[in-house]
Amino acid sequence: MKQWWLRPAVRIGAALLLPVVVPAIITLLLWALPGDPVSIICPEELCTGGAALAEKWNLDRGPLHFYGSWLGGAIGGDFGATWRWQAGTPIAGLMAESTPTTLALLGFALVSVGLGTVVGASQRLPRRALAVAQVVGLVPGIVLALAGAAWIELTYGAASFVGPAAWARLLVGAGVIGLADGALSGAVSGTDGLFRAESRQRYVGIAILRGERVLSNTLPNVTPALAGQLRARTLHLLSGAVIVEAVVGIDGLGDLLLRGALHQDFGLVLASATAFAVFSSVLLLGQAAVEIATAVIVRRAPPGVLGGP
Amino acid sequence: MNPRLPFALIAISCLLIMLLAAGFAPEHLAEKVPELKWAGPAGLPPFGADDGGRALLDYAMQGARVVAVPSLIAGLVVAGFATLGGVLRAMGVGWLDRMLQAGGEVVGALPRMVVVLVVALVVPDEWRGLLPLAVTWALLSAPGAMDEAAAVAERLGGSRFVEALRAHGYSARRVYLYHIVALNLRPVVVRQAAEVMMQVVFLEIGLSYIAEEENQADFTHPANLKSWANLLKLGYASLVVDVPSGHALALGVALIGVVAVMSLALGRAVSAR
Amino acid sequence: MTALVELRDLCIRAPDRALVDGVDVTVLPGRVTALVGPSGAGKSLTARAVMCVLDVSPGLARGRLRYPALDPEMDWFAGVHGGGMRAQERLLARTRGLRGAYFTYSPQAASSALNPGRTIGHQLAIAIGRRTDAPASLSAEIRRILDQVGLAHTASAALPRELSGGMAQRAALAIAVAPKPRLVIADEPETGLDPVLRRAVVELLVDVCRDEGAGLLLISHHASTVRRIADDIVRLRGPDGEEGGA
Repeated sequence: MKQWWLRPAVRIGAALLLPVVVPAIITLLLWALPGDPVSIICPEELCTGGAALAEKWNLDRGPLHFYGSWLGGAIGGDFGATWRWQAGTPIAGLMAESTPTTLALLGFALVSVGLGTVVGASQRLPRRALAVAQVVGLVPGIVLALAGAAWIELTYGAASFVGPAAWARLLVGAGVIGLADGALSGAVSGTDGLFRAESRQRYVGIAILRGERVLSNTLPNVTPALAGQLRARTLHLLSGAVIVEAVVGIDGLGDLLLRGALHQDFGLVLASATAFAVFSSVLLLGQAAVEIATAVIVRRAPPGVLGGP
Repeated sequence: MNPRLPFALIAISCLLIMLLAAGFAPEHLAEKVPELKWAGPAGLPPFGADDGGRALLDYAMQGARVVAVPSLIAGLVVAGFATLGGVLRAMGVGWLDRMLQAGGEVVGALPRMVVVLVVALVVPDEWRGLLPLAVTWALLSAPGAMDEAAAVAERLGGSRFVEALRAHGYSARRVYLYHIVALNLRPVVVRQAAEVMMQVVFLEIGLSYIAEEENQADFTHPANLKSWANLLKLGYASLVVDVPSGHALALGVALIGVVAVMSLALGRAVSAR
Repeated sequence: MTALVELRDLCIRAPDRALVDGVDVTVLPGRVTALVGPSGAGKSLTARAVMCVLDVSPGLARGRLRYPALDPEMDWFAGVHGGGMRAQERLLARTRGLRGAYFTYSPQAASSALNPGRTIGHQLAIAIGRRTDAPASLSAEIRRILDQVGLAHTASAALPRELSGGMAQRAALAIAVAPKPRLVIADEPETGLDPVLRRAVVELLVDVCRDEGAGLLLISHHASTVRRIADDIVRLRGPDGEEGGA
């Protein structure tokens, strides 16, 4: 307990470093590849303007200069332009359009994770229902995404991306990542397991004998672990969003990252991977905040007891 | 009869079929046979034909070749890390345990798909394929597997369990290899390995499908091989337009189902009594 | 004197045998009733039945339970016999308000019995909150209770794991008496304590209960303790019919 602050401190440190370290690692990997970075990023046969690119981003001056100028630009909101995919398109604009879409997708998908968490915490879910949820969770995201994409195409047409079709894509995508790959079932069984293990602790049985409720006793103690599980599940949803956005046709950050990787557009991958690193940092900070709040609440004692006569 | 035996048989059968299919997969698809275009299983057993009249069996075998070895290696990587996590907790090396936990927190900080795509981007052309991505996925899954195995070792009593068995005269090697790993860690290690194997297969299908959609070079296999994603792509047309490729979709989904069943069966086959 | 609890002809069954059969328990205010017997005789099960906590299946087969000081006529076990776990869960829910108010429980091995995520002061505050009449000053009341059980005021800010075994036992006792219950049920409070501390804790328990005018149902297998402090003794027989215990 004396070192309760260690874990949240490590998380806060990791959260602050992540958006800085991720582009650094990608930069180092680029320079580690055999060949000249300019020709890797913008081979003559595939793109033009390699010289201008090299000048703008200090590609001929080593990884440190490139990283420094890229990071400086990124902090000011300038991520440069795409190098291969839709060459010359400002990346900041692409990210400004796609980030809210991914956040909305995540928000809707978190509904199923939240529901699963509440159901798991109640420990009232029949074993059969949990088994069914686990079987559904075995279905990979790609299969559900294809089914969803087919439904959208049949209902709204393949080229429809505005109005009700856009909402349909978003909701179908959220449903897919919220159900597939064990997202919902994992939330249920993970939370259920956490609360069951805690409920078996001796102090809970004694609390029942004192007339107290199980949840009021267990919830503060499982909250840090629950926060960790929720962070892991949200990361899992973000991971799933990459494929699902591309298949269902949602112009989100995951789709951007995937296209950047497919078209070997380092600028796009650098920017979108950094954006994901920022999301991850926010999740880490959230978990650290929960751990700090729990530690403070645990230490709560009625005031005035120590100061009395 | 041992209740776990049927699951073991199912798991081993699925794995053997996948490995055999991978081993005997043709290097290239056969020449097109226009008369057999979209032939069903009755027209060209056992699985029918694609739009060029080429056997879907070749797609299935080539797809198995793409995923079999990388997924197996990924499973072994995770199994190794899980075993290590459990053994270290049993040894009670506190500082190392804490260091690994901290490392696991860092490794697990980013969404896995982001890391995999970055790796896919930077892998040199001569190393391109599913294996680097599968190993990356396995390394990213390792911290969770190590945690779970360490929890099992903790429930046994950790280093106190080892001390108690040593006091009974068992050698250290027997205690760790048999009592801890074989008897107690086996269920969680094998289940984690089976899950990662399944996830790698699904990862390959997802990435391949999108590469096909985008008409781009695949991350996961050379151009001469087909992935199971190609079956899904062929079959998708039967859902949205009037193309008689439903049998391709059915085959693709069935293969995915076989992998899921194999993973589940493997986990059940080694579950604790 | 009106009894605090009257339990008659208690019979609790497991699928293959009777765990407790034909037990009668009466506890009067200000008196110590000891529940004695060998291991497996059903002492804890009987104490839990007094608190309407039945978690065995098929469970309650026979018995009448009244709290005359509360309601002279009501049989709390009515409708529960043969009803299995569901009926027992309904009884648990119906009587939740009595636990921690009319009667409280002081456990053995208190270190693992206290909520590890709450300070002693917080747990005392929750227990005091179950009284029908709130004290004028919560902090003053907590200090009074801590003094009563011989704990320093600094214990209020401590977590259970920061207390020694003896201090944790005193803290558990403080939490048990904080709601000013009519009846305290103490389950082997001497377990895990050295002989000196054992005597001190038991005497403290008896003194506090008598000061508050509460009855005490004490489960113990220490003959010397029972002989020294018990006003009434209920003997349970073991599974093989042996008497044993105190």
